[in-house]
Amino acid sequence: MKQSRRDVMRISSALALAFSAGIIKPSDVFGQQKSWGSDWNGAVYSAKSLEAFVYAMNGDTTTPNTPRTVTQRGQAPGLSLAKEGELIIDAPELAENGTNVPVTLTSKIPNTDFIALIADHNPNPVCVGFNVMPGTEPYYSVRVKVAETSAIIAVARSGGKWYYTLKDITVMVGGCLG
Amino acid sequence: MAAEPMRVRAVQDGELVEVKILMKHRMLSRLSWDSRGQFVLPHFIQTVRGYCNDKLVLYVHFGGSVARDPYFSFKFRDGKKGDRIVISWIDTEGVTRTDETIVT
Repeated sequence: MKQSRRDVMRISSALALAFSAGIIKPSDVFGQQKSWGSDWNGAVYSAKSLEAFVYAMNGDTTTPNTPRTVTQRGQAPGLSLAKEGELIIDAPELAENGTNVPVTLTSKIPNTDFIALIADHNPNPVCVGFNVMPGTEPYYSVRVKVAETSAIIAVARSGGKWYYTLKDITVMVGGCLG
Repeated sequence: MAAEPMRVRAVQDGELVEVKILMKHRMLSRLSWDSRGQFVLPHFIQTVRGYCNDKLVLYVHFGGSVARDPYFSFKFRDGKKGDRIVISWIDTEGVTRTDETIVT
């Protein structure tokens, strides 16, 4: 097929018009692009407690972001304590340096699709949220900051229900200096 | 601030592939001041994605409380030797870094 320069110009301007008018999206033409952008949900990751985190993850924006309370722990819809041995936190009981505490999370709850780790007394309690992709194991290892001697909480979501488990960590030097 | 390279290692172990990632990042979790009294804004990695041969296998969001120079590992199924692993992060200032490795 012989194409003159004029034809090329005509085709490209027609494509540009179609893109700008929104008739066809560039992804339709150039194929599915990998997405690299950030879609960080500020309401979820600035939650101040386990309950506020679950509310935010459920998309409830009317409930205030309450700080942690021990008496109301677990008072959020669909949230319950995980059974023994189903959600495992592997972390040292005595951490010499709170800036770098290795934590391993393992979930044996079937169909786990989300795991998060919350350090209870930190200024920013929500440490990390793992979306468990299909074909991957709910097993993650990560190093977090722990501000003071407190509990760290693992939360897992399975079929719309939330399960949590606690582990106490003793910290010698606090980890939220930086 | 230019992003420093991360170290990625992927090892096949039976039917699982374990990937270990060590990222270089200062991970400042909250507003602070430097020695001249200037504000230093929070600066941390927000989203990490990992692809194995164009299939999304890792999709993680970090809050502020992840340690400086974050290290973490994960496992996935149906990987084999020679697969291409691509890991990418983006932080609060929009800086991104992408590195890749081959499963061994």
